[in-house]
This record gives sequence, C-alpha cells and structure tokens, in this order.
Amino acid sequence: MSLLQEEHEQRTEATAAPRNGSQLMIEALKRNGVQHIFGYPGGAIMPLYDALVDSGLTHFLCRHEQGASFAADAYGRVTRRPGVCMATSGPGATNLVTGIANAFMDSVPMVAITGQVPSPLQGTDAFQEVDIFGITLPVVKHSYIVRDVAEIGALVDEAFHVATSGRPGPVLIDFPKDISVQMTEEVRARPRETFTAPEPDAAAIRAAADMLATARRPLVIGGGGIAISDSVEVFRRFIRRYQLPVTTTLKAMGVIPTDEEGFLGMLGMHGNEAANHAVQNCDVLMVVGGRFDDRVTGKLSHFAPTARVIHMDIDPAEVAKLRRPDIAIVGELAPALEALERHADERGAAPRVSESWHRQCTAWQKEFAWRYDAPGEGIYAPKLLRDLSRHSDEPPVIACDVGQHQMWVAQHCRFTDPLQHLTSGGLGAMGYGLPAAIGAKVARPEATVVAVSGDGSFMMNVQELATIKRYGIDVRIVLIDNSMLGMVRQWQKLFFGGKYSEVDLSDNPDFAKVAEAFGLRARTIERPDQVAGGLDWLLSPDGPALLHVKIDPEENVWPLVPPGSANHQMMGTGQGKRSKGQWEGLME
Amino acid sequence: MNDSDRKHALNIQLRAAEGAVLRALGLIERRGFRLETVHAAEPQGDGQSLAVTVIGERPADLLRRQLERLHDVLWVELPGADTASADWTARGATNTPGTGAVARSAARRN
Repeated sequence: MSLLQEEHEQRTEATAAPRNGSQLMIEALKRNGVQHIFGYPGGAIMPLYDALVDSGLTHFLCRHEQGASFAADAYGRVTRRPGVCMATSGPGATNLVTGIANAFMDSVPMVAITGQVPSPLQGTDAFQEVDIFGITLPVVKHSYIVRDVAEIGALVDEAFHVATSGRPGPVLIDFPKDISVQMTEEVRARPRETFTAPEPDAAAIRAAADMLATARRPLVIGGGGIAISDSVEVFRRFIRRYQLPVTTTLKAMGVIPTDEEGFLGMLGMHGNEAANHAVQNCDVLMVVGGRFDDRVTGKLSHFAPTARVIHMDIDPAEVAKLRRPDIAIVGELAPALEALERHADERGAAPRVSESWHRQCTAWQKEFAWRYDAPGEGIYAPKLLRDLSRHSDEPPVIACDVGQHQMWVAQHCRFTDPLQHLTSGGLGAMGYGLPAAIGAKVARPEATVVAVSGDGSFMMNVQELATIKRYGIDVRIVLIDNSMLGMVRQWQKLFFGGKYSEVDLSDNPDFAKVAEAFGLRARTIERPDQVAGGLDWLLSPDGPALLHVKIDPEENVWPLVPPGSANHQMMGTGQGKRSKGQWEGLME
Repeated sequence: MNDSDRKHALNIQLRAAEGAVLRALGLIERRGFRLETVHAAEPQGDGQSLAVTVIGERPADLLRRQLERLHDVLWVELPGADTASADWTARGATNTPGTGAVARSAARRN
C-alpha cells in the first residue's frame, strides 16, 4: 500500500521576464483555478494587493478579516476547491484565525494568505508583527513561510494539493513583504509529494460485508466525509439498495434527502429520538465518514452499547480515536462502498435488515415525528424554518449561524443535498452564517442562498451587510430574534438552576433599521399569521433582504441529551412543548 | 504519573522544514501526552530525526497516526510497541499498522 509518490525535481528555468513575488503569487493562484478571493488589505500585504489590480481575479472586500475567512470557508465547502482569503500581518492575520480553525474542524479546503513584516524585521516586535505561523500551528493542515521568491509557484501548487487531498483542511501561507517585492527571473521547483488515497483493504471489506450480511439490526451513520469526498450518489445507492435504516450527523444532513422514507433524522445531542433509539439498539453500526464527535455520541461508554462497529474514513488517525471499531476501512468512501456492494453481490450475502428491526425503526419514526402544534401566541421558529425550506421545489442553500436556530435548522429544514446546509459544526463559531452565505452565493450564483441567524450571532459579523450591499450579493437573511443568547439561557435554565448570567439581549438594536441603513430591504414579523407573507416577501426576486422574526424568549430546543448522559436519556421527549414543563420542573 | 499512565518511546522522521519540530512536539502535548525527553538529531539532507519519550494514558498507536497526519512527518516508529493495540483491524484485515517489534505504519498522512 504505497501511498506516496515522490519526485525530486530540482530544476531552474529562466522565465520570460522578471517578476516580483506578488506577481508570482497571483500567477500561481490563477494556475490553481482561483477566481475569487475574500480579504482585507493592509501594510504588509500591499504589494500583493498591488499585483491584484488588473489580474483578472475578483476580490471581495469583506469588512472584517473574520468575515473573509468564513466566506472562504463556505466557498470551499460548496466548490470543494480551496476558498482563498487574505489579510495583512498582525491584527489582519489574527482576525483570520477563527475562520481557519473553523475550516480545520470541519475539514474544509482553504488557502489563507497573510502578509508578514519584512524578513529582517521578523522577531523584533515590529509594527503589526505577530507569529501567525506559530499561532495557527494547531489549526492548520499545513503552513508555510515564504522564504525563497523563486519557489513561490511550487509552494502554492503544493499548498493547493495539501488543502484538497485526502482529508481536506486549511493551509496558511505567510508572505513576508520583502519577498513579495523581490524581483526574480528564476522559477524553482520543490521536491513534490503527491497524496494517493489507499485502496480499500480487501480483507476489511470482506469482513465488513460478512458482518452486515449476518446483522439483524444494522444502522448506518452518514458523516460529513460523504459530501467532502463527493460520495453522495454512491452512498444513496448503497442505502437504498439494501433498505438500510440511516441517520446522519449535523454536517451530513442531506446526504439522504431528509424527506426520504427510512431516514431517521439527525442523531446526537439535539437529534431526533428515532435516530438515537436506533443507535442505542442496533447490532451493527456502520459509520461512513464520521468521527464520533461528543455531540454525536453523548456519553461515549454508553454509545451504541450493543453494536459491533464498522468505521469507514479516509483519515487513519480517526480510527479508534474515541470508539474502537471492530473493522476499520481506511480510504476513499465511494470505492469502499462499491467494493462492499461488489463483495455482497459475488457472495450472495447482502446486508440484512430483519423485519422486526424495520418495523421498530418505522414505529420510532412515527412516534417521534416532529410536531408543529406548539402552544403559544408567537411565531414557532421550527415551523417557520420548515416552511422556509419548503417554499420552493428546490430547497435553498442555508448558511447557518450557531445556537438554537442552528439546531432548529438541522431538525426541521428539508435538504436534498448536503451542500444545501452550511453550518459551523466542529468549532460552533457564532458569526459564521452571514459571511458564509456570501461565500456560498459567490460560489453558486444560480442558487437561492439564505442566511439563518440569531440575534446573538448576527451581531458578531453584522458588518458584512456592507459587503452584501457593495457587491449586490443576493443573500436573503432570516434573523430569529428571541432577545437572548438563547442556547446559553436554555442551559442556564436547565443546568444552572435558572440563574441567568449575561444572556439578556433585550436592548438589541432595531434590526430592520440596521439592515435598511446598510441599504437592504427589511421587514419585522412577530405573529404567526405574518409568516407566509413574510417568507413570500423575503424570497421574492427583489434582491437582498432581511426578515426579522421576533419569537418567544423562553423557547427551547427539544429534545436534548444532557451533557454526560447516554443518547437514549433525552430530555423533552416526544418533541415540542408536550413535556418540556415536566423536565424543567425536574431540573429546577 | 498516574497508574494508568504509560511511557512510550517514539522515533519521528521529519522533513527538515521550518516549524517541523514544533509541529510534532506541539501535537504530542495537545493530544494528551507529556513530553519527558526530546532529542533532535542534526539534519541529514532533507530529513531530521527526533527521538522522544512521552507519558500518557491514551494509546501510543493513535498518537503515531496523528503524528503521521502532519505533512512534515514522514514516518513514526514505536520501538517495542505492543501490536495488539491495533486490534480494530482484526478479522483478517491486512492494513494492520504493527508489524512486529517495530510498529511502523504503511498508511500515510492525508
């Protein structure tokens, strides 16, 4: 299983005309297929911005570097090619860090370029100097400091390869100012190393096929790796062919259309109870491109207690990190699934789902189907989000922020493709939604893109309304406003005896006026009878708009696996408001 | 040192690149191990080797795979490693990382 091919080519070529480091950088970006860049200029990166003029690349000036990094993240998710962001040294670079960490946690291809003070000044505490290479070491897949102007082209080529190959991730290129203005006629190659994914191991495939063929209560968890590796069609065929019960992680919503029969919904802390019960009772659990995150497993020692586990992933370092599988298949997901199918065909040993297990899963689905008959006078956000995603035949791309609304989106929105759901899964970064919607719309101008945000999250990158206006990026915004940091309030209510600490946002600005001040259309609604009209208005072909939705500050996300509990110990069982009072009483 | 903690020796072969040593050592601490001894050899050509002993309760084989995911780590040896730690590849799988007294991976980083 040789996975690397190393070529050592040390060649020097004379180029047509001398160019500076910045021009070589732009050239290399273009050669790697870059069309769009999100960024913000400043002192140390001025030579690169100079070379950008008339380069043919389209640059989007975000109004904070964090916005640029989140936009690049979403662009990378949607295109599966690295989203590119750039910023100057010092504060520009540190402002990118949250977006880089976000891409790292969710395995998103990204190339981040930072200006750096001139090499002779590095290490002298120069103006706007920070060691961004050191700061980002824990959150990059790889990083470089450009030391040799002649190597820039090869270095950028390598950065793009590293960012996209195997398990994707962010790559940082720190670009000292003296190198960026240095002239050269030389182009030097670097020793080149190419990643090749391992072939699925034949013995592991055989063992997995046999395990599935002898299962009675099998279950599949679809993970984020399915979309990342473009394995959605193969995954669907596999699931449908054998009628396997299936659940997904937050990041994989849409790998099976959420309306499809047999789809149990998301699992985990705010998952559907049908999915959690199925996991806790299955006898063979096949995890495809997932990593057993703590929000998925609940109390790890109690997760899927009766199951033998098959774990498929491209990253060997995810195997047995948290749950030790019985069989690990390391490699690309699609070839592995195809090999499993082939093996089952050849041996006449298809994965089995017993009649009783099928009946049981169906019964759970029915019992725990979402309900929308919530009591109360106000707008029920889950229903509004459900209606939003069903407004057209083709669900919109939803770029989510982080908090209660994020969980409601995952629970209640319809997705027919995982790229319709952009969410900060691993990092859980508030402020992601609005700039992510910008990145998604730039990547897919033909798609309807909706940012769903909360009043806490929205204020973290509200300045990106100016980016939307400046470039006429047709993003629609649903702002769910409970005048609270709702998820924190919910946890304080449930797990801290109702003692509220710094969650009150009742002095929020008038969000409709804020949006209008940036030049967007805006409307506020607060009654259920305004929802249909509000969504029609928001999604009309009249350009960017914000629908400000005021909801009950006391609304909670149900059900919930309390921290440290097993996945079957869900609070708020039966969904909605039916039994929440009972749990809240218990916790107080 | 808790009862559950164990000491492991690792030989790490690095690309001799800026930050490579820091990357490897930083990862070891972030992934839950204490560094006890570190010896960095003089770089030989494009490579540099690093010998460390670490203490921790997590599996050393997992640490090996996490290190090998780094772009600048070429391979990692666990001299004297117990190959039973890789029992997830049981049932005939041949991608078992351990191959005897020296567990060296055939699998590479992503």
